[in-house]
Amino acid sequence: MGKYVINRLLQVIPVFIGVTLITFVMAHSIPGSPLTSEKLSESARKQIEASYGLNRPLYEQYFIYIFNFMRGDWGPSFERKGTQTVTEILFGYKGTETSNTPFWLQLVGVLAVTVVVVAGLGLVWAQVKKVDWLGLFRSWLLPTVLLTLSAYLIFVIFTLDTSKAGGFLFSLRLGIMAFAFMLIVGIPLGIIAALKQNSWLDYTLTTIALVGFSIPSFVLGLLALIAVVLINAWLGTNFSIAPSSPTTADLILPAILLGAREASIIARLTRSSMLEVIRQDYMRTAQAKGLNNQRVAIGHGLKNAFIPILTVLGDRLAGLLTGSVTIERVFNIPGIGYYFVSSILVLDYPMILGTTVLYAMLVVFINLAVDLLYGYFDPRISYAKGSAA
Amino acid sequence: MAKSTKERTDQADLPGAAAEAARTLQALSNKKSSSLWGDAWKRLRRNKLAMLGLIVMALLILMAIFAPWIARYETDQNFYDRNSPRPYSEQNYQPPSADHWMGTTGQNYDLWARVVYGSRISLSVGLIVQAIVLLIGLPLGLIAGYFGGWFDIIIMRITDIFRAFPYLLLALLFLSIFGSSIAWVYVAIAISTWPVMTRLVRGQILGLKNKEFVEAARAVGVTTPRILIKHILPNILGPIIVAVSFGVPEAIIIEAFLGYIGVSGDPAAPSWGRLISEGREAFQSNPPTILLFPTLMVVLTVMSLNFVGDGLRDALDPKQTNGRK
Repeated sequence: MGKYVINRLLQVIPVFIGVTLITFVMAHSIPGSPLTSEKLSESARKQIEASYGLNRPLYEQYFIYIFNFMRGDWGPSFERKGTQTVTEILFGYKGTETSNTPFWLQLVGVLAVTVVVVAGLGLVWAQVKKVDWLGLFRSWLLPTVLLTLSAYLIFVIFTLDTSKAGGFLFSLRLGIMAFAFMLIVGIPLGIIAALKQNSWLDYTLTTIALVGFSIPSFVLGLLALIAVVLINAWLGTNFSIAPSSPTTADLILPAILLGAREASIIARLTRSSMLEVIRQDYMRTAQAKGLNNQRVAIGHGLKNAFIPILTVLGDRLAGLLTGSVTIERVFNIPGIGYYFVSSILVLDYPMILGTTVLYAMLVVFINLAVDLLYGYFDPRISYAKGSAA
Repeated sequence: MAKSTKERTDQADLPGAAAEAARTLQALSNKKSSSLWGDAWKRLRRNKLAMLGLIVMALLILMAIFAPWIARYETDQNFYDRNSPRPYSEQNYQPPSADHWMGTTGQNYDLWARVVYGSRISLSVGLIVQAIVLLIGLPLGLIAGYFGGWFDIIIMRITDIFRAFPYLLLALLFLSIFGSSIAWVYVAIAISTWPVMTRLVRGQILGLKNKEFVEAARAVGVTTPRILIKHILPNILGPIIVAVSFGVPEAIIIEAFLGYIGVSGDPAAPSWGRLISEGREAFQSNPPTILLFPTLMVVLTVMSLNFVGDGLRDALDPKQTNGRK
């Protein structure tokens, strides 16, 4: 297990180098320069280029960038004439300034304290109860730590002041809300459809899920825009569609539209997984023992049906956090996806790289976490043999 | 949980003779039924939504092929009427009428004509992108899966890198470098979607390459290319067809979004995405038709293709669940 984790962590390095190198080279080979739109004299342009380091050879620029990136300095945003750094736009803190403690450092600090406290409690408990360590770690410590961390993270994300935090916050809120919508709608509907298999309810739900699965959030967002305009026209109301600084309430509609497709995917998966489990012998045994159907389905069925769903959840979370590009463009939400597209359109190199690497790292680490969690939830999977790649 | 694990291992560890008998039984029952593809077609025909999707797709393809006869006007025919008493600004974005079934765009072009010609772009994007994806993904997946070792490691690390790129980034960068002509759009979308195919093919082959029939072929001295093409490829064709049928609508959606942010295709011969973007800019003060109709066309196309894909999966690949993208 430990070897597997180290192996997977090492795999992050080539991905990081590959992603940054390809993005860097491609971004710099886009014809034109970030300064072409300005009317500048030749000498002034040279001066500005020198101040951003754009006159150095490309490989030098790359190494300087990577070095600074590691230090948390992701460079100035060209689009905003260098008045804001990339980290300021994305996370709301200045990369090079150390006077006030950056947000992420506070976060790490609080997380560390949480982990220590929970681990300490676990140790005491283990002494009292005399439980074996591995069993304790698996059954109690790990879930507690994970749940506490996620609860804390979600709390921070939804209470942070949007005027201080950057675009990443909007994307996180959007992604988390869409994820919640996916779970709350997808799983119950899947279970219902499976329990009432081949009834009209099942057919209706599966058809809706198929339709939902077929329409991407980008198009769904456009349809919602049209609907809002028509409603405003007919009822004389004035719903705003794209406020400049969206509140959490403004994000609900985009989040639902973003999560609708994922909810359909989860509902379909839950249904097929439940159906698979219901056919198993131990379900029949439980029924034969005289347990009522509902209890058999929820108590014995859901637990086992949940394994294939779990494997997909992390993948979906990564998809929702990075897939909000389109919905952010449609609703003009200033999240990373929004900056990501506009930075490419105006050749804001540091911004292109910053958003890309952020996205790539999100995908890589969420996938890593999912693979590890999968091993935890499904003991049949063993990473020791090195078969998983 | 422990219960289920035990249950499954019990099934797998059936005593040799019983397992042999079960396999023989299965072989017999397989023989009785008609061919795999015939069965699949029968199952597909029973799926009403999939058949509906097929019919709609056939109509859309006909529309794309016979666009000049269906469009009624040229796409660059300007309907600004100089003699009309109404000023230029009022003639923009005409609502639907008998003359202009979907109204007109901001530059007084007939929207129906543009939508009809736009279908050529969207459909060709869907098909050609998947052709390129197959061309890249299939051989790489075959090599990685069948030969393993260093081939596998290198190819898989490359797909890891490509998969870590955020959605659309490669396509966007690619089009920014090479310009937005439609040929580059095909390549750009294919480049950002091929790893899925490679991983699918590789996974399928890993499950197959140690099966008895492949070992038998190897034992009697069949050459490697022949094993790959004659023995392995037919067995993984089902999942590949399903993946392609879901890849086509995905490519269409990506193209629509690229058009929407204005980096794909020629504004003079707009794709549906370009029309949508024009509609998005104008829709708050004008009739929403220019936003509505191209969007509906995208929905119609993508939905029917997905219905077909879903039907194909049920027909060809009943065991697979819709997990990863």
